[in-house]
Amino acid sequence: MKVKPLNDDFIVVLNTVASMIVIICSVLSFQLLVGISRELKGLKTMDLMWKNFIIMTNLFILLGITRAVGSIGTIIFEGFFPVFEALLSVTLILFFVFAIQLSISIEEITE
Amino acid sequence: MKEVLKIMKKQTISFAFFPLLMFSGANLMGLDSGIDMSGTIVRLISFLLGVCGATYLAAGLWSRSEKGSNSWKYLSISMILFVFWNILGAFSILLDVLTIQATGNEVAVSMEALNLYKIIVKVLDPVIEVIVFIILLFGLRKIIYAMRTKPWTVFSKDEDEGEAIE
Repeated sequence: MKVKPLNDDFIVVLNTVASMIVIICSVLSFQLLVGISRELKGLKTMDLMWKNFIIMTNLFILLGITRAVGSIGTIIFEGFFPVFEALLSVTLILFFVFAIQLSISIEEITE
Repeated sequence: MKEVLKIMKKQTISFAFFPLLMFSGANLMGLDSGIDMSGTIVRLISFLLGVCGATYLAAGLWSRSEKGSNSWKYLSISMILFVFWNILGAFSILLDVLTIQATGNEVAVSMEALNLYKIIVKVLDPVIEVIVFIILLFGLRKIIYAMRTKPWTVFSKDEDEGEAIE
């Protein structure tokens, strides 16, 4: 079976549309996160779980924005690719740390 | 005695820098075949760490949703999809390495099959990414709605909700 190579333009358009949707979703999620932290400000002692939750979600949003901006930036100038890949790797490692912290604090609450 | 000490000192220094030498060697080895080895390894490790962290978090959020509000379930599903996204990322690195090696006829994988896998990864990657962030948005909306209207339902099951299910 011979595989017909997919048009590169299609991939570029798909990536650009996906990146735009991700950027919009990330900005809206960030706004909601600000709302959540405002709700929590009323509490005198902000729970460790909520602190971790806010940091983790912020990192997740940052990850999405980096990936989206990276894929659009790479279309414009390919030299950006290693920079965005490095940023993505650093954010992913930080995400791992806070995801573990958050799940430990969630477990403590569940028990 | 002095000679022996000198040799020992030299050996200690070379031993201390051995990991660095190993990494530089790996990088040079990679550059020979056209792959930036250190960069690839860091990317691969970060994707694998992302898989571990997101899986652990998805499990924690799922157990939370069973004992508390259903809104945690949205975040858990988002994390599960994020795991798939990371697996795709790791798979794309593998495909890149295989493609470079296949050009030098070092791998017994046909270029057609590699191209097919690459196309599948390239199409699936943005699709999964969009779904992950849309579900995250809905999950956060549900959580903030619960916090504003019925704050006690965030961490415990709502009685009305429980009755409705029964």
